[in-house]
Amino acid sequence: MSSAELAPGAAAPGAGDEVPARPDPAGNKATARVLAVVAAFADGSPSLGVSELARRLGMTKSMVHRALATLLDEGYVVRDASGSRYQLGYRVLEFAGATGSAPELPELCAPYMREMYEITGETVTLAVRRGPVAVTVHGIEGRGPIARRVPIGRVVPLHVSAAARVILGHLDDAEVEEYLRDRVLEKVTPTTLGAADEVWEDVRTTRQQGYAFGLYDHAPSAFGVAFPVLDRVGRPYGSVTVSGPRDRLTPERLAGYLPALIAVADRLNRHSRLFRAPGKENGG
Amino acid sequence: MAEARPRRESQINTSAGHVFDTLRAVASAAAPIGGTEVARAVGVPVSTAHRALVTLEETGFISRSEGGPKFRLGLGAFELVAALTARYAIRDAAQDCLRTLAAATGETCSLVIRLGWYAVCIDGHEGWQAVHRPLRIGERAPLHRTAAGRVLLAGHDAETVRAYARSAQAGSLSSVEVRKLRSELAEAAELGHAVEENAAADGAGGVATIAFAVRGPDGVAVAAIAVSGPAGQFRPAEDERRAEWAELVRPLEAEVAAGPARFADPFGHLPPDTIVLSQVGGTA
Repeated sequence: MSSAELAPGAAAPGAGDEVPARPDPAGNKATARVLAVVAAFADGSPSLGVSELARRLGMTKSMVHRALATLLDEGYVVRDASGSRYQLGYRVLEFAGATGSAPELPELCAPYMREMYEITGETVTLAVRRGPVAVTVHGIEGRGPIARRVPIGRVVPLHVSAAARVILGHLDDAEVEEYLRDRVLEKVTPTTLGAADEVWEDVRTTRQQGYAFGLYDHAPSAFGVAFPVLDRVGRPYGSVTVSGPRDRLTPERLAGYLPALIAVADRLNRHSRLFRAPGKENGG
Repeated sequence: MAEARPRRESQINTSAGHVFDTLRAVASAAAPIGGTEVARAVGVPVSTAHRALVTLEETGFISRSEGGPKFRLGLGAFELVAALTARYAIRDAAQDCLRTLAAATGETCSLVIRLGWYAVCIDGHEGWQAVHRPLRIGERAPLHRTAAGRVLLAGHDAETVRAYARSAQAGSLSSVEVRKLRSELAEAAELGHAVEENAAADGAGGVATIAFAVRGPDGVAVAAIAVSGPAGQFRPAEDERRAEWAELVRPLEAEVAAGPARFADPFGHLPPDTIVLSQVGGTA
């Protein structure tokens, strides 16, 4: 977003909806600078000055002034109360979508899931919470002759599988209690958590680590790690899980990938935390 | 749709103007939109629309829908909207209030602020009802048109109400309309809330809303909390739990009273007549 330069587009002339069309390098560069200047306000700064913008975006002050002239004219940036600095303009509200206020979760997660796949070559899945269960809604299948299947539509109780347990671990105590109340903890494999105190222990581990490892508690032949996808108030939308065959994706091998995966998960959460998870507490 | 504004010459980058018109066309489209439709909506040649789409895609403001030729809003646009709504301290302060009220009513609770002469939804929480009024962050309407807007205008002096009634944003109200508005505002000021039930427009049922004022120590509302649902299911005018719901807003009012400066309008230094937004929706 902060890049002022544009990669040259393909030169094929546009026909119908086939984008890209022939680029106009001079106009495009100036336009890209205008977009880069307004995007600089996305970091939450209440106001920014010309020198600050120039330094941050690697532009000359006169480039910044020209971009600001366009943005002020359009109302996407306004002068602040002091008159000498600039703040994000009210007209940015017109970019709020007609059909919703946040991107679809799969779209938000897709680029980060792709990165996790490229780091590991293993299957990466997205699960969302629906009340007391987690549902797999999206995924990229791992490469190699054997891979963990992407079980689209798979529904598991929140205490079964890393993908679900990492969600449970990010609910608050009252919600975990409510989940456990009157629940028969169904054993899917011999290692599935079967007692409330085991679930609480797992919740504490998840909270402390920030992610959850596989326990061979759902698919005994697979191992992996699940990261939460949190919203602005720290509530889980769902989880992203990297998993593979247990004899290839061993705990040792996964430990090697872990720092890079954590870095990707942190960036994903910086993005997802801009938004609010859908509010249907009881699962819609 | 995207309204073209007259643009001054000289420093103003017209190519950037097309890019913003294009972005607004993508934002206001009900479904992913391609170059041909954008060209029609914005009133530019298809090649210009294509160029704008490419620039917006490369800077992350829009993204391709399922890799095809059509586009939807991208993270860059959502980030800017999130950065704008974050300028309102009431957004984070209202989280508990929105959640508890949504749980108590089962209906969608929106946080609405005054921006110039508009009432704008900047956050909210959906309830648990199966059929509901979807939350639409960024939805806006002139103040007198919605229950939330009237609650926001109610604490202001007669001079401000007169200025509003004369404004282009309000649509220059007739004397009959002004009289009606004055009596509605007096009622909202007295009750601390306003109710509205809109007749069905399309046979699918209307929307019923009750909006509660979140008043500062000076009696002027810093925000409104609007509860909206399908008119047949949600009947705020006759529901006796109204007083209980109003109580759920009190803690937020107390928080505002404890430090009102924090909740100052980030656009309070701009004359409201100069703030012009295209309008979307308006039943909250």
